Amino acid sequence: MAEPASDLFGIWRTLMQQWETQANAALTGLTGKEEFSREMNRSMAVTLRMQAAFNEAVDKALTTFNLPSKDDLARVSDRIGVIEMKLDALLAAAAAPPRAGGEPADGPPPRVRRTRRPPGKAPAE
Amino acid sequence: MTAPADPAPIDRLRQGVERAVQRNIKGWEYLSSPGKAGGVSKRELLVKRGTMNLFHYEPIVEEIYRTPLLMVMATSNPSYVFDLLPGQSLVAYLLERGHDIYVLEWSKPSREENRLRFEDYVLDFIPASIAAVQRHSGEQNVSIAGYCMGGLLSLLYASLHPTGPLSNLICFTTPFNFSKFGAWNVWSDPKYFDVDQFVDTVGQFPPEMFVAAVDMLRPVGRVTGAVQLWDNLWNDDFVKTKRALDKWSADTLPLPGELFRQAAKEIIIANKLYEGTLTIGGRPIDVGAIKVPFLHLVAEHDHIVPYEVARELVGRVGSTDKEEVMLKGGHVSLIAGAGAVKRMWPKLDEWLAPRAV
Repeated sequence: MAEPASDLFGIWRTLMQQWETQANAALTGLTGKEEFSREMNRSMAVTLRMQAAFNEAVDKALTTFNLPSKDDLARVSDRIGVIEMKLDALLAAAAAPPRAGGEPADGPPPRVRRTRRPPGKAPAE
Repeated sequence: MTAPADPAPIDRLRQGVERAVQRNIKGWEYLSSPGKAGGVSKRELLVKRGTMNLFHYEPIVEEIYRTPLLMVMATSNPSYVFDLLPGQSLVAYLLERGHDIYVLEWSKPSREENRLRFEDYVLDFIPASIAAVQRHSGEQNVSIAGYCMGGLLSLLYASLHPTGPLSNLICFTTPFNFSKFGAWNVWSDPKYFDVDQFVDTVGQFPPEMFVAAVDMLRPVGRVTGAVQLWDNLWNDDFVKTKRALDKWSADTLPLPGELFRQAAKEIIIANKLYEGTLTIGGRPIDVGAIKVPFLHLVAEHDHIVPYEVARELVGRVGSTDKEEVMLKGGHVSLIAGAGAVKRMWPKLDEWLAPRAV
C-alpha cells in the first residue's frame, strides 16, 4: 500500500532509500571500472615508492647516528609482550587452586552435565 | 452526523514531534559519551599465543549439549561482535540454549607475525585450539562455526582433516568463488596492483585500507548511515547497536603481510580454492573431502561477500547432510543486531542442537 500523503517522514525515508540505492549504483559503476583501478593503483604505487625511499633514508640516518629504528623498538616491544604473557600465564597457573579428584586445572566446571537433548526429543536410554 | 476526523495524521504528527524532541535530548548524550566496547558474557582466556586467543564462555545452564562449539572469528576484526550487547549477544543466546561455546579470535599481529601464512592458521592455530577445547571439555568431537575469513580458515581446516575430530561445520557468509568478487577483482587486478611491492613496503595490510575498500563498495553508506542514525536517535536500542557496531568496525585489525600476499595471489587473483588447485603446507585442498554435517548461512544483502561469491560452496562440499540458508540482512547484520536475533540465531540453534548431542 502506498504511504499516506500526510506521512511526511515516511515519504522522506522512502526517498532517502531510493537515493542511496541509485547513488551507490552510480558510484560503484565508476569505482568498479578498470580505469579507476588503474589510476588508484598507480597513485598507490607512487606513494609506496616514496614511502620505501623515505624509510630507507631514515634507517640509514638512524644507523649513522647509532640510534634504534622504529622496527627495532617494535621488535623489543614484541619480545617484552611475549615475556609478559608468559609471566601472566605462570602467575595464573601458580595462583589457580588444584581441583579435587585429579581433574586437570583447566577442566570444565564440575556442575555442568553434558546430557542435554534438543527440546521435544526424548533422552536416549 | 458528520464522521469523526481521521486521527492518524494528528497521531503521526504528535509522534514526529515527540521523536524530534527525543532526538535532540539523546543527540547530546550521543555526542558527549563514548561508544561501549562489546563483550558481555563471562569468559576465560584458555590459550594466548601471539595473535591467537582462545576463550571459553562460562555455561549458564546446568545441562549442556555434549559437543562443544568452537567459533572461529575472521582475522580482520575482534570477536565481540558475537557477544555485542545485553540482548544482542549470539554467545549469550547459545549459552542460554545449552551450547558450550569457545571462541578463537585474533589480536593485532606483531611485526614478527607478519610472516604468518594460511599454513600457520590452518595447520597450527586451529588444531591447537581444538586440542585445547578437547582437553578443557573432556570431549573428543568439536563443532566449528567460522565467520567470513574465519569460515574460510575453518573450511580449509575441515578439508585437511576429514576424519575428525570435527563433527559439524558451520560457515557464516564464507567466500568461495573469488572470480565473482566484482570490484575487488578489478582493484586487485595484477595488471595494476603489485601485491609484492605493497606487502614489502607496508609490512601489514593496514586496517584503514580494508575499511576504505569496504566503504567504496557502498560509497554513500556513511552518509545514509548518519541520516539513519539521526532518524532513529529516539530509539535507544537502535543507537546502542549502531554505536557498538561502529566501534567494532573501527576496531578492524591489520592482517599479517604474508597472509595478505597469499590470500591476494592464490585465493583472490588465481581463485585456487574454487579451481581446486590450492595447497596448504603442500597438501591439496578439496572441499569435497568434507563429509561432516555442513551448514552455510548467507545474507541476502551482503555487499562484502556477495551471494554469487558464496553460492557454489554448498554444492561442492562432500557432505550428504548439508544445507544453505539465505537470510535477510547484510554481512554484519546476519550475525549481530535486531534482525539476527530473530532470523539467524534461532536457525543456528535449531540446526546445531540435534547434531550436538
